[in-house]
Amino acid sequence: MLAKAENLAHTSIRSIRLVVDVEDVFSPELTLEDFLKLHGKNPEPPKYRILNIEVVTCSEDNQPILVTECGRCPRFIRRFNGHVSCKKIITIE
Amino acid sequence: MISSTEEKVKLYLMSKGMQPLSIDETLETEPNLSFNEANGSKVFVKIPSREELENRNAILSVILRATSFTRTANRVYIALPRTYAPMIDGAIIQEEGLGLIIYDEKTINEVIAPKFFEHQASSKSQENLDVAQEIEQLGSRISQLEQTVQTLRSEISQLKSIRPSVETPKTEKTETVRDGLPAFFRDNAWLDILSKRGREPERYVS
Repeated sequence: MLAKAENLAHTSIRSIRLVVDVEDVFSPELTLEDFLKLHGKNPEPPKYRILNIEVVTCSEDNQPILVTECGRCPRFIRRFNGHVSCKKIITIE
Repeated sequence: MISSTEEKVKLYLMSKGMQPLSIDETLETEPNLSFNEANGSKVFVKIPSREELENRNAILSVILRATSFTRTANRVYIALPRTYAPMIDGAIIQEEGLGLIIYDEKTINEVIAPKFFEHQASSKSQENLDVAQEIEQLGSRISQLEQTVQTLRSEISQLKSIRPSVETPKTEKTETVRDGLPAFFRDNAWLDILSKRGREPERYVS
């Protein structure tokens, strides 16, 4: 017999800063750390732009998703102190 | 006009025992909903419109404006659509003492409880402070008046002690008496001398 229980999951948010070359579409996107290691300088505008991407691992299917996507999930409760809190359904045999 | 979201939030808070109130139009920025709790405290709810939720900065601006309600209300909620809720860290809302309600088409939940702002107590304590200050001022004025009265009293007693004994001159009276007397009394120098006799201190000639 399977029983379902509801618990709370708190998943930490990972912020990834990506450097995008807006003048060269073929230039690879690098993280800010990799860009600094490769070029040895800060990405200066207007050629470069830094994007901040916030991702979490979904507590339900363990897939990486954008934090903003959590807003479409009915299990999402709140974002608090760098964590996403959501309901997690546990199946007990 | 009450939107469906406002109606939904209103019903949700009414189910928690709150009574809806009319909105005070004198406020600079009006809340969307106003409630009265059973203990008499006032609750405001700010529901940002779609235009106010364009980006993260716009949401932060709404939060900052909603903090002004804490001067009037005891509890303040912000109601955000579920799709916008992940954009803002709830810790920012909690630090400001606001509560957060998240809603979508089907569900509505309070995910951050608001802080209670004690306005009545603070206004009473302010009144008490004012009264205490007034009493203190009155006390100092009374002590000043007491000092003045004491000084005046001592001055009066000093004046009394040094005042010379003033005797009223009786010459006029004697003159009037003389008017009814015979003619040999008039311009008689002996009358004055004789009238003073007995009143002057005795002089003993050695």
